[in-house]
Amino acid sequence: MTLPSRLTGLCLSLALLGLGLPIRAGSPLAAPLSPREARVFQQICVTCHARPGLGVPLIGDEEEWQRRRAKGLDRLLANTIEGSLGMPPLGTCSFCSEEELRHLVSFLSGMPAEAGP
Amino acid sequence: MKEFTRRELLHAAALAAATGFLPGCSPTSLGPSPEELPGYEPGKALPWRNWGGNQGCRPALRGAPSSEDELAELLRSAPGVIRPVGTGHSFSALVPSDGTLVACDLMSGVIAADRERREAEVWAGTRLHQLGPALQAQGQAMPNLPDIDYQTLAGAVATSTHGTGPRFGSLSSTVRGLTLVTPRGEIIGCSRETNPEIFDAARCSLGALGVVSRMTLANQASFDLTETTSFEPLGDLLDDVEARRDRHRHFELYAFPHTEAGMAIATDEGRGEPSPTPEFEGDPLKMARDAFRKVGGLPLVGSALYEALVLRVADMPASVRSGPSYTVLTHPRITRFREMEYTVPAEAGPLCLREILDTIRRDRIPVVFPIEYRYVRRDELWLSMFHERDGCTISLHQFVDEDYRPYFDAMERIFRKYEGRPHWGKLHGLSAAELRGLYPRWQDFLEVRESLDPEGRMLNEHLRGVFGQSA
Repeated sequence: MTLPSRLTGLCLSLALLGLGLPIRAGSPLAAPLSPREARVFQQICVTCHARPGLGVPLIGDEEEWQRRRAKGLDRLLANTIEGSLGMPPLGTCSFCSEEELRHLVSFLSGMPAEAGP
Repeated sequence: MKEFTRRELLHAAALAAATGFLPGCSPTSLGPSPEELPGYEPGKALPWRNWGGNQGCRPALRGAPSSEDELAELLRSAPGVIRPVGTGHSFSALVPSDGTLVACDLMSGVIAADRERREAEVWAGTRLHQLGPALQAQGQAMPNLPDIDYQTLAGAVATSTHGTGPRFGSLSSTVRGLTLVTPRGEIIGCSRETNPEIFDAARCSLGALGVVSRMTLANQASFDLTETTSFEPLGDLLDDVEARRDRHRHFELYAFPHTEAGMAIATDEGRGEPSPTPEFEGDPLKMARDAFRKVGGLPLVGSALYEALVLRVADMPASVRSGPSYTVLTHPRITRFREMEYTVPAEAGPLCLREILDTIRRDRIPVVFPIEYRYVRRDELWLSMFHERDGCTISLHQFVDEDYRPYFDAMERIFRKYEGRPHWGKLHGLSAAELRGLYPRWQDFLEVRESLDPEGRMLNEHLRGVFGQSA
């Protein structure tokens, strides 16, 4: 995916979220977000995942998320909770539950929230 | 003579990019090793870890109130030791508790703005990266900001987090009023006029008095900045550092260990023409580490080769960033690290930095992270590192996968000589007795703390050590 198309997808996703409309980041399999999860997404996840140039997978960047999906949702969730490379522990959401984090990882990566590795 | 491959040169060139991350970038004790931290076990209570991955805990309760009343009720009924948590950017053990962690992320945003007085009342859980645009919408901006903007306002203020510039104090010094919710569930407003003693303690409190829910900030009209970053010989920079400090709105420098290279960052008001952003593949700081590992250890000539690489890379034109103040003062940081920072008297800064660099080179301490050097104006806050003293802050970093202790231990011995005060959110090894000697209003703080939290519910093991209180 080219940078302009990534940014277009990113802007569209954020605009929909800003309007309070449900969006799915990666695929129809991704879990929809609860209002509290949507707030976490807008307030916390976008700090890095909507900031081009950091080297982290951007929201809606299918090519990048395809590579992450190969690890499986459980691995991505464990990396999110404990922190891995540039990913800070808990994604800096100190109050998120395991279920909420699972939904958020599913939402970003486009994987079903129920899937195992 | 070893020949450098293109790849090695690219690795060394990454030093320049590393500074692109850094310019424009724990004992009581230095803390547990990552292996000792609780890990994720599906189905069990989630562990909490800090951004640096050197502090952790498994709290029984993680609360996230969405109002002051909910916060008060949570504090009244919370199990165990209560600790406020922001984004976990403190490297010291301010947060860990197996009792209750309180996050104020759901209390965020601007509550009210006074355009005439250029003040804004803001929820304490607001993250700094959200605050810039929110204030801009009100025609306001914070006069200064720290290097990164991931922190919550509450966490930054609780630790006197700061930017650079001799005319600017820490973020804590810009607070004109705040609301504190105590562990007994009392909601207390304080300012210079109301509860002034609590105000002087609460603006830099280490989260030891209760949980701050909101604050009023003294801002200014929104403004633009232009930042210019240039490589220069460090000796020249240090000889001229006080003149540059006074000439620019903001000035800081970075020193590259094992070399004579320095980098100056001068920031002034107004719009300039930004230069193109250089692009490098991979993590520039880790590439710089690779370069150091490849050549730095070569017998006899290693240091000279490494320095030659750095100086070669440093021979490049200045880079410029420009835009709204909150986009220029802060910088994205992805590489995780651990940090020690001390504030020494402003006039001692150049001498202290020179001694640090001499020691690193003499003792062959393996570090490539540039050392950050900034200035901050004095204030009157009781536990501020800048209490009644203009300060020069010197920040040391080490990668998360390297043992920072030998480096930080060695440097702390130097900071002690200069009567350095440690940053509360960063790693240090000072005892309660040593800290008391550095802060004239230490006892006053302890008395206010005792009056608000007589049962010590806000004190985790780290804070008991800091304040010299037994469990």
